[in-house]
Amino acid sequence: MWGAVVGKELASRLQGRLTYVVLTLMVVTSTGLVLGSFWLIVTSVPTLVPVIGSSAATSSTPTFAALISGYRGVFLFFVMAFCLLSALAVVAPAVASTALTGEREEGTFDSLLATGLPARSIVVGKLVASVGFVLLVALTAIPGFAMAWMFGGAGAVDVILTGLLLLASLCLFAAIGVFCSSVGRSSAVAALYAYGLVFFFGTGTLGLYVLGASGGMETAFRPLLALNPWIALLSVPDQVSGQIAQLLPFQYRPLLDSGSQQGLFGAIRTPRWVLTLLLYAALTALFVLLSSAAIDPCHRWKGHRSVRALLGGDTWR
Amino acid sequence: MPLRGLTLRVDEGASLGLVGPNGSGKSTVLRVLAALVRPTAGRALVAGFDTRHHAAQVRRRIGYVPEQFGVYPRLSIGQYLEFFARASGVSQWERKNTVETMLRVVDLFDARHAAAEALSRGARRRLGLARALLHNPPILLLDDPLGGLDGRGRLELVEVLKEVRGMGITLLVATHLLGDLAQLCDLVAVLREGRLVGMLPLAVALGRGERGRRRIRVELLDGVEQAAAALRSQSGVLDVSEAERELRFVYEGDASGLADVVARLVQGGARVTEFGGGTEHLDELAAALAEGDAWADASGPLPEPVSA
Repeated sequence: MWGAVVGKELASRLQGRLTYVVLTLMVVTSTGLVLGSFWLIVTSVPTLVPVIGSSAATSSTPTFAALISGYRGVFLFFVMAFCLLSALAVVAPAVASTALTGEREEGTFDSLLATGLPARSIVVGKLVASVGFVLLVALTAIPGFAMAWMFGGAGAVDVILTGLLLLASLCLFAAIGVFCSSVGRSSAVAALYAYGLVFFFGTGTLGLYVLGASGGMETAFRPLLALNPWIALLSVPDQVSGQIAQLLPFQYRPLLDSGSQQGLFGAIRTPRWVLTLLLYAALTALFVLLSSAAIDPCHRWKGHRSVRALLGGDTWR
Repeated sequence: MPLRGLTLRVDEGASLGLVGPNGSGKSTVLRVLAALVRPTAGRALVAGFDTRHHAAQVRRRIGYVPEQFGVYPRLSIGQYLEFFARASGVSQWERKNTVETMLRVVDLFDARHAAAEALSRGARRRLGLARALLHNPPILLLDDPLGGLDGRGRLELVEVLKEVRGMGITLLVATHLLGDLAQLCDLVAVLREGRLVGMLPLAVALGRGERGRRRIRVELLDGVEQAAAALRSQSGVLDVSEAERELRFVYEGDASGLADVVARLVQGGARVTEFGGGTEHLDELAAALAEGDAWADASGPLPEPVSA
């Protein structure tokens, strides 16, 4: 059922010149990013190789420069992934936050809902189309990733996990955008709400964790880290992130330490990226359900006054 | 506009006009019936389905054309209808034919590759009508379909609507212009401040009932004053007014009596170039009906509000 909406959305989005300008800019940016990262990581950091027979004192704790030197390929690959994640955090909410408010602003929403297409299909269609469009833009970064991957260090598992985390983050950011679009009065307001929520996931969770850890409540605040996509991404190359963690003050080490992989499910200890993937899937589904209820004045949840107060009244205007 | 104590029933295949001034609740009635507004109290049943609990079933059975509606700026007319046909559940096999048929019905087939956004207001209304009919709904809800259209646009759309009317579709048309309904509806429901003031056959509202009065307009080539004097002397003729080459009067009586009046007028030497009902007065009548002071004039005793 949602295929109709996806088809219409993609047909509309791909017919403008702006789309191709954006795609070109993305290719240029990602290539520039790789070259910049290459310059920073490969040429600026001296190669530190222990010399056999050297009498220089060695420390048990490596320096950051030594880590970069030892894992150039991994750093290059994950710097690219970080930048792409940041780009997704900027682009996805902007694209998705016009999904439903755009229909309202163009005066097409009543006609769309009156077709009998279920509200959930409309929302899923909008979400899939937003994800598809942003994914198309993101795919332009593949040549950059390929160049970074050629330096070695990042294994196939790392690549797959990184791809999964980026996709899950994209889905969540887009779902947030669609949800904000379903409750916002205009596209601008919806985008503002969406950026606020994405900012919370990216920075708010980290800020709260740091505050909690500073106050001696590190364990209580640690589950928040599972909501942070950048931290989850860092947990993928666990060997490297574990070593970076050793460079942090003691109370913040669980932030990156592979030994801190937390057990939200009781005794079962799970890598952080697993929790993040599961949480993001659940949150994406939740935002879809909430958006569906928000746009359908006759949604069964609207029978409850509290839901009407939260998601809008008896009509969607 | 909130609706208060409104009870209204429209039988299958009937065509009902909702008349009333701006803000009387006409659009709200249609939006409730299209399951686009949830009633806070009471209930609305469409083809037996409650709009609150079976919104999807209701929407599948109605075609709704809002007063104002937009089009997707980057889609052509054909793509626009293709999308709505798919969204309305028209099967892949029937979609192309259905879209083509609807384009021909609303006379937009030749413009199918043009951008929907570039259409004139009248053509856009016809496109909206085509969109609403794609899934062959048994009920059509039209919110002020002719509002804001010029003479030609009105004529074109009325022709299409008459064709639609012939398909046996149950029709609900909201308008503040009673003249719009003259060729489309059997019944008129008059709303005021969210309440149903009354419901009566359109012919009665227009003064075409057996005992009713009808407003007549006659255009003459010359001799307006003599013709006016001749008219005033005839029984059943009331309220004669003259303008340049035009006479207006109210006739009280049946069709046969009116035919006699016209015959005598012509026999008296009047050179009649046009003769017809004064439909431009219908809008005044609609306003008077909504105010409640024209019921007796239109139909004798005030009809009971429908409560079936």
